[in-house]
Amino acid sequence: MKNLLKYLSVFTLLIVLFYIILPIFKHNNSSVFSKTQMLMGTLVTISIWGESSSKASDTVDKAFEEISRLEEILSWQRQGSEVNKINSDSRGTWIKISTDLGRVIEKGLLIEERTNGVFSIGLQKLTKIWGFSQDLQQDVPPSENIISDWITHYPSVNAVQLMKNQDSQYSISLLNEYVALDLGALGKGYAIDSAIEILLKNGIHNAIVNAGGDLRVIGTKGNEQWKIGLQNPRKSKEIISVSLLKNNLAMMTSGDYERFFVHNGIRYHHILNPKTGMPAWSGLTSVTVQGQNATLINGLSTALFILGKEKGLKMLENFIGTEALLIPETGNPVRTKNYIGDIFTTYNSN
Amino acid sequence: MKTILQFLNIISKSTTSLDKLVLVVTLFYILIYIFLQTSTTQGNYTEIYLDNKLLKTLQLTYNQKTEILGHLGVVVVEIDSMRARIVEYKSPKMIGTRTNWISGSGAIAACIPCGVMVKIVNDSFSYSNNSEYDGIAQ
Repeated sequence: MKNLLKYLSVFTLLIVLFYIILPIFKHNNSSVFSKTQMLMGTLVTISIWGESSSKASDTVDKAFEEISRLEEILSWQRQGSEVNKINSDSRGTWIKISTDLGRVIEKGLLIEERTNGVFSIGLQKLTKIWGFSQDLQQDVPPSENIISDWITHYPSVNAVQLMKNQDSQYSISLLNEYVALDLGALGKGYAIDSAIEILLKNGIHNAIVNAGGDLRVIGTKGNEQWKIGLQNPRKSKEIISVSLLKNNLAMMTSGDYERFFVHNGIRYHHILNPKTGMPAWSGLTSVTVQGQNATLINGLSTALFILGKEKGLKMLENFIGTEALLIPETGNPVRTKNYIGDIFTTYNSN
Repeated sequence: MKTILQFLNIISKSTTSLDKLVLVVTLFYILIYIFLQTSTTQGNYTEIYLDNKLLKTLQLTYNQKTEILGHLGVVVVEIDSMRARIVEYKSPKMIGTRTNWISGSGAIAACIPCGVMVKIVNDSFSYSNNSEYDGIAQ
């Protein structure tokens, strides 16, 4: 009997020890709840750390609903969206628009102004000429005549005008038929920011919202920071840089490798320069920008890609709190002083 | 087998019954731990979504092919050796499609233009994301 009690005591002690030691060995991801949906033309994953699965699931669903609502406003590819209606409307008249759309356009026009128009939110017609829409993609560049016709008629200034009255009601005016809204360079960022707002309002303070590789984090993952790998623009399975993010930081990437076709050995990608009507061949393959506002840095990553290294980095100096990592076609990656992330020394642009 | 015999030899040489108990219990815990680790990473069925709505649930233990009518036509989802993948839809370019085999719990394959998403799920654990990274920027 005495021996039995001794054995039971040891057994109990071992069980207690097991449950004390187990969390040390378990990977911290075990406390991360993740859900993925197809939204905004990509896979959106929302991960929450340290909450019960029921609370995390309910909150994630609310955030997805918000992204879905914004898609109905911002996507020109969605029939019946607010942007789609505006693009179909007559030109040269003022049209009242929703606050969400007004905010996105406001950010877009700010970047347009700072880049002297190499970034523009009125390029939907040009995008269609090139065939860079979601469902169909051509593999031959459009004729020079079509592009030069578009360049001739696309206004160099005030293509898209925005007005905000005393009641904070936004109105928009598109100058002519060659101007139509394409918010692809800002929409995902705004959706990410809005999803984060929903999470915060619902008491979630440790999370990551990832929309097809563009993301924003809040808080941490327990004692760890959020670990983000940056894809090699030329080798999709390879990670070339790792960033450990925490608190409130977004990270948005623009590159020539997501939507493109190769014709006669030339890579034609979806980031278009309104000054030339052609894909932006600036010597870069990928630009990643970090900052607190996902909407803003979403646009900045595109603008920086079009401008190229020198002009782009100079433009970025106008936006305090933003940092960038540039991957050139040849040569070594370049990053600004406070960019968070180490570049693997094995990275080879070739 | 050799390892097991060695272990039994160690137990037989143990000085007291308490030593034996400690060894047996330790082995038991190691086995439980290994089981927990593997069962959280491996999925046991796949969920197929159309426009973010769950359409079908298929066991990964049965090799099979199933057809889903997506936005651009028929999409074939194949399950083989506890893995799943999107095989094809009627588009020669497979734009917006992730076609590789997926197997771990939480892994996803999707054809965005078709509106079809395939996800590996483990019904014992609601938590997921076993990747080394919390996100891939691209």
